[in-house]
Amino acid sequence: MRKDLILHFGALAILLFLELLGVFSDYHQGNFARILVLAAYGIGYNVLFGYTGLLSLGHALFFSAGLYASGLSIYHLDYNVGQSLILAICFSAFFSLVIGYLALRTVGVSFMIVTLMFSQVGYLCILYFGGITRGDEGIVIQQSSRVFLSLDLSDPTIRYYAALIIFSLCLIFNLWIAKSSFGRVLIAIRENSDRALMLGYNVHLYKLFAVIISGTISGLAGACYGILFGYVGASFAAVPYSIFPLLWVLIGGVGTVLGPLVGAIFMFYLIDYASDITDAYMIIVGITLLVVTLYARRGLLGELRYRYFKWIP
Amino acid sequence: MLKVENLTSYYSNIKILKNLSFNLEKGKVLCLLGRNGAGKTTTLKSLMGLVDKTEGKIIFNGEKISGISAHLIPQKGIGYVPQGRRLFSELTVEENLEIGLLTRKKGENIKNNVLTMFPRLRERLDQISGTLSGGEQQMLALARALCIEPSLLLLDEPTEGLQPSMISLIRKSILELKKQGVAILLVEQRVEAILSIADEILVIENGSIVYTAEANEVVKDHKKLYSFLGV
Repeated sequence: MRKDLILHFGALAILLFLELLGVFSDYHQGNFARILVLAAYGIGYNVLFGYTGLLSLGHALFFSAGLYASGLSIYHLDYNVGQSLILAICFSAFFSLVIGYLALRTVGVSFMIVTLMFSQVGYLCILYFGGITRGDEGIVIQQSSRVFLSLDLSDPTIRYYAALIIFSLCLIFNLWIAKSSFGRVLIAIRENSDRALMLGYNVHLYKLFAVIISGTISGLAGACYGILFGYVGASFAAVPYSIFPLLWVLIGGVGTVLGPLVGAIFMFYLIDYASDITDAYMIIVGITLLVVTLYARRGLLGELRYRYFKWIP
Repeated sequence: MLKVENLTSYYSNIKILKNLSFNLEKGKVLCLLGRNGAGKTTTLKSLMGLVDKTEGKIIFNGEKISGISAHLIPQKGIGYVPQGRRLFSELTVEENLEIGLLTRKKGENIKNNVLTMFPRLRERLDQISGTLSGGEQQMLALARALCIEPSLLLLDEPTEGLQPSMISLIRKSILELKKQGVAILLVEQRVEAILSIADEILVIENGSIVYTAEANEVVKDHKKLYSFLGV
């Protein structure tokens, strides 16, 4: 069996057995369920930033697009989980197409600013249309609405497995992209988009596909987050939720399939433990991130790949 | 094969090329000479559709290609090796070649042909391309452009900054391609590097062609050419 498959499926197997063997306490089980969904969001972000080289500062827009599409459809239209997920995926894909079409008219810093602005518009719209979205207060999705195939998704164990399934699907899809011709063209665009153009690739179209894939995965993660944790709020559309996936990817390893998971676990528990020590935990977090970025410029997994394991996708 | 008629190009509103016209036949090497800033690279970029504002006609194999999207031009069979190589420097030699091959059906055959032409690359397939020597990077840039099986190849100063042994290797490759019927439009600064391989020479100054000659005429009498180049 190929080494890259062993690594990725091995990681998924570990996550499965940690739960099956009851290694997690209730606290860590909940944390890991959250981390897995957020890591799926990180995977979506990584497709655009890590593989295509487009740095977006507005991905919270896509995350919240899925979150609100599913949450509002359950809250206002009494959709079930399956219907709301399908709606969220379709809406996120369409939304990404529109935003991508507009934002890709710009490049570099302008692209970052434009995505940030779109994200802010989304955030302000959520607050402005508070009659529908319940603004700052957000929407609580009742336990009775969080049932899928007779499974109660609010149950911590089922929630963990559901999060693991979502993460696994996103990871396998990302692995396929990384190994496919499509993925190699994305990497070529990241490395040198002019050269990719000169080899006959429609760079703009490839970038647009990357935005759509990235936005749809992010939207799916958002929808799952809302359903699994029962809350849909405007804070998920704010700037920090655009910065978090960037940090996870940078810390875990830019352009590595497992990087977002490594980064999300690292960040989550760094904040968790640092906040146990002091109220000024952001100082500890900041210093740690500085050290990591100084000594592992490519991120934890990225550095391992660069130094020892060139085969890591 | 390639017919350029009154090609005029602009950067913003500044006219860089002024009514350039020339032809290039199959299996011939046309060399563009000129001082820095004369418009040689802009000529290549204009042919590849990389300059936003151009006028005039570019006809390749009987088809008008001026005005079409830049990504369609390589698909017509025009390869371009820009100045400074511009590799995918984080990728291996093999991955660089494969990206060139993805649009081709008989990828493995093409790859073998290319590696036969550049055996040194075969020994370094797993090496990260950014770590190759300058000459090897140039070979790889040329090899990757050949992956699209071009019938016209645009080369922008392929021998720039290379040691003599590498220059002679690159020159040999160009002659081999010429023998295979590939038309080559070559931009060079070094007259001595091209006289033995070029069929025709054009000198550009301030965006206009100021001198054209058969290469063998120039070999007999350098003086006129050198007077245009200020050598």
